[in-house]
Amino acid sequence: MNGIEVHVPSIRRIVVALDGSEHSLAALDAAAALAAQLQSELEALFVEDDDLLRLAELPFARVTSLVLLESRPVDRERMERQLRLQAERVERTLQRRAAALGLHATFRHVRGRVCDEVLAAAAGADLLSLGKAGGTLLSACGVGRTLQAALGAGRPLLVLENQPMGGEGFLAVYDGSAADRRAMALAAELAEHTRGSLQVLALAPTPGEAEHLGGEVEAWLEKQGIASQIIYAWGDAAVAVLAAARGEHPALLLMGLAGDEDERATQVLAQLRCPLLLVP
Amino acid sequence: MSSVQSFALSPEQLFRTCDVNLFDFETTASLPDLTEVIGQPRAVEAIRFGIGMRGQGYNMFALGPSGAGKSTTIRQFLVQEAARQPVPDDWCYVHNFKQPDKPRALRLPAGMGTALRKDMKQLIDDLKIRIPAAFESEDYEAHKQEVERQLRETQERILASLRRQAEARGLTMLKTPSGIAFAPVAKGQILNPEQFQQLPPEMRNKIEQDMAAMEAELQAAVRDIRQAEKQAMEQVRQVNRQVAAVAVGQHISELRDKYAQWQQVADYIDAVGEDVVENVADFQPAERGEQPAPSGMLPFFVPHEPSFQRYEVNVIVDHAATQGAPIVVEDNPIYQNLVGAIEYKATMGALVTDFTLIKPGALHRANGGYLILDALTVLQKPLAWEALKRALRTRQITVEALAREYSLMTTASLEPEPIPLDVKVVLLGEPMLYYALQGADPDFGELFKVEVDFAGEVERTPENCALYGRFVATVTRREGLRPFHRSGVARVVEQASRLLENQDRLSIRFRTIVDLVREADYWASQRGSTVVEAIDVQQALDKGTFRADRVRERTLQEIVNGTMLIDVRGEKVGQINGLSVSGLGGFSWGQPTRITARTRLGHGTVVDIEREVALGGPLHSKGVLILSNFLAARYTPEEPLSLSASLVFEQSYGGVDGDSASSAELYALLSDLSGVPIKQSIAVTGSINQKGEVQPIGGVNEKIEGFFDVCRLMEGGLTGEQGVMIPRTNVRHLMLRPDVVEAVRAGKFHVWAVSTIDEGIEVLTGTPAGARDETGQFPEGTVNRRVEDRLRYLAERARQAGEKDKSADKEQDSKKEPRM
Repeated sequence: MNGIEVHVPSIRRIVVALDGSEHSLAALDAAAALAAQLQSELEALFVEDDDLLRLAELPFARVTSLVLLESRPVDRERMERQLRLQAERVERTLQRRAAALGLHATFRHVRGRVCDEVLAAAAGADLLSLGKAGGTLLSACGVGRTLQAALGAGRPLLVLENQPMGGEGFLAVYDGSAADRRAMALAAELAEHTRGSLQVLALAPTPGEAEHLGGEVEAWLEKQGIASQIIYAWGDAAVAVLAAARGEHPALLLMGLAGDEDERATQVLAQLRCPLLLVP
Repeated sequence: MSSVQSFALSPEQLFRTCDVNLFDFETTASLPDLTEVIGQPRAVEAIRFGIGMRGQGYNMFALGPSGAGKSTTIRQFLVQEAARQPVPDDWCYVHNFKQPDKPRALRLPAGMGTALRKDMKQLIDDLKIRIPAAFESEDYEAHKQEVERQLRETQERILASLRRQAEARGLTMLKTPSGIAFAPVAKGQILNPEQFQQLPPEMRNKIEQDMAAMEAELQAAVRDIRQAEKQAMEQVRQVNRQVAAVAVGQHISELRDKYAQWQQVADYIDAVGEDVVENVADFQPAERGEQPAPSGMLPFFVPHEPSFQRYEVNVIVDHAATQGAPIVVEDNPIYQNLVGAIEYKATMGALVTDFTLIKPGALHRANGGYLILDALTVLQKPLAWEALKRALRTRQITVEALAREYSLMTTASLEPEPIPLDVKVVLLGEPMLYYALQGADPDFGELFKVEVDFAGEVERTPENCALYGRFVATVTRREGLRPFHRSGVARVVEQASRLLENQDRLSIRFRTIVDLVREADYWASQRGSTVVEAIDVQQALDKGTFRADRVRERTLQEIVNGTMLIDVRGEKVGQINGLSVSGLGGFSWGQPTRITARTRLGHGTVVDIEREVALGGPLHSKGVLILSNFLAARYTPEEPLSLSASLVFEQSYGGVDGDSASSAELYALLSDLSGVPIKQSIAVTGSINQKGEVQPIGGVNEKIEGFFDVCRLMEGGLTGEQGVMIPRTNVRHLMLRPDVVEAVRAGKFHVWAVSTIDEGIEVLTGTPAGARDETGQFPEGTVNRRVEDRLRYLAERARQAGEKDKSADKEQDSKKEPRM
């Protein structure tokens, strides 16, 4: 890595998309903690889904409660009231979390199609934080589509599933790509800020290449004066990343993102349980 | 020698000296320690029987006066016996995994309780490492991931099917704040109401039917997903159990083998193994999410710490360092200290408890040995006596929350498994308490069958005096005091007789004697002597008296300065010096009291003024009533006693009881009746019976010394005429102060002993009392003759007065008749 310039993404504005689900609240927690560390601006976005209001206008519209396992009729007025209440709940949660961290946070409440609004907001953000609803009923409702769309937004993406499980330190994946290099540099900065530990997974198709990558990283981090531990891995990238995450149990995993077609990112996203920061 | 002199006692009769030649030692330093018990053959036999008799209820009650050495003697025997007996087992309380509110009691050989506690701690520490290691293995991870993957696949399959069905029907699924909804779509857009209304009616119906069908499908899908989740969780649990069983098995098995010969303990270890497997998540950090949030990140999570307390071992009886059977003395036998307690601790504002908070009592510690308790203290502590009896009756110790006994709290508590009890209890107490318990508590006789009766005195034989010397030697050696010269021991022996007021017996209430030995040692040290001699013992006695006699001294001053009227010279008719004993704390002293008698014509009553004003006790009244009968029977057996007499304790403002002044009262009465004066230089004590015999009284030494001090301090001092007249039966009780004995030896003071009232009259008046001659008459000029004459005269006067009254009545009656 010597002689190669590393561009550390500047994260001054974080947008978190909230819909009241546990996943989105986990995303809020992580985004708020990150904003506090980086002294970034935090904006929470709540989207009143147009599709829901349209549905509620249909004369036979009904909603099935997953708790009561029974369906009830719904109209536009009731749907609007429920969305308003949800927005208020989300805003209260935001303010509580922000106050606890001494953070300035803004809340934005918009109406429109969720994907469109989230992507529009991402355009003005340095980092987008989202909850992951994979494998649940919500994914069948199209919630996963927003995440899929966000992968192509060209912004760093913080993804969380439910409440984080704890863990310690930062684990960055480095396969020599520019995106991974940026992810690793961001991890180094975060480790320095939080005085947390840093591990780098030097990932390559063969052991020799992995060792070479590891040497590069080590030299670069030493130059930056950042203590780290290098883990060497080779073979299937997604499998290696998931194994390392399970073994090291980091507070945050960082890796590069090569657009919405990034197979490694898609596979890791599908199975990873810890917070993930994808850096394009 | 006049007849009066024949009643005087010699100095030797006033005090029984202990001959120093009785002792074949110079100082007690050369004497061996006392190993035998002085003067308690009955108690010793009872102790031996009580210790040897193992049946139920053969507990001991040692009764005897305080200071008689009950505790010391009992302990001495118990120590010898306990050393020969085996060390009892340890007892532990452990968690009961089936019934947590009923902790189990485990019995282990001495010392093994602590070993089990350490082994259990080591086991849990090992498992905290071993179990996470097992769960971090690739093997386990692969199993778990397989289950998770199956669940995910099942969920995705169900959801994909649901989505496909919806799409096939032209519907899409939407998440709303209150659940899931289905909406009809056309060209990727949800139909609005206008578009919907434009559809043909059959199409609209179909959409509605499809949506209803999808709702049913959704509900079925949710049920299926939940079922799949439940199955997956069960599979994970099953895998966890298997992994844990393997990880735990070896450790449990090793521990079980170590304790295999104690079935209860082995069963407990098995139960621990099962519980660990059931609660294996507690040992898995990753599973229970206990890691703290990373620095600066996600600080909202408060971890829940699992408790491993249920695997602890509460060793309540640990005999690791015990030799032989335990001997426990519980000085504060409150309920909790006796049978143990269940303590509580405050957690989140509530009082909670568990088996680790069970505390042992004296019965636990003494189990397999002996427990010594003070009976009165046990009875004074609430619930303690009942708890002790219950434990002895049921032969087991049941620890209960005290609040439950009182029904004060209904909070959840524990019912620890009772522990079998095999203990011999020794109660110590006063005889009165023993007899009260025998009479009042039906259980007492059943539970305390061995009466260990300690005597308070022993015969004053040369052998016992020698044992006393060895006792003094033992005390001085034990307490690091100076050895006693044989003269010192002799003085101690004399004091032991004085304590009992008996020349022929020795007190064996050793507490007082030990105090005297210590104080004499102190005074020897003040004198700079290396041995304690008779003068040191005397000094200890004198100083002890001085420290305590402020009130006595003040009383004496009142007499000397004339505030209290006492004559110690001259003669008076109808007036005599009686003697009484007062006491404050442990100090008592004698003092004279003026008693006066007045007689006149009357109806045969002797008025006891003390009784009339409720200052006289029943015994005093009894003595006065005896006087009336004595007078009537002796002097006017054939005629009514036409006398009215009054008796007064002059300047007595407190209560008077006891009949020791009854002879003095009689002398005063006889003096007043006869007109013969009584010598005021003599004070009198002794009670009388109806036959005129003088009977013994208590406190004879204090009484004599009290009058001696008054005479000594009055102006002019001792005249050589003064003295005290006592009952002859009290002579063997005399152990007077050396100064009194010396005064008698010098002829300055006297002690007379009389057996009858007639002898007393002669001493007090110098005039013979007189005995009836063959004609039944008392000789002329004797006191008795004068009394009889006076009483006859009064009887005659009474008869005359009676006849006069009768004739007056007749005259009155005759005057009344005509009116009829």
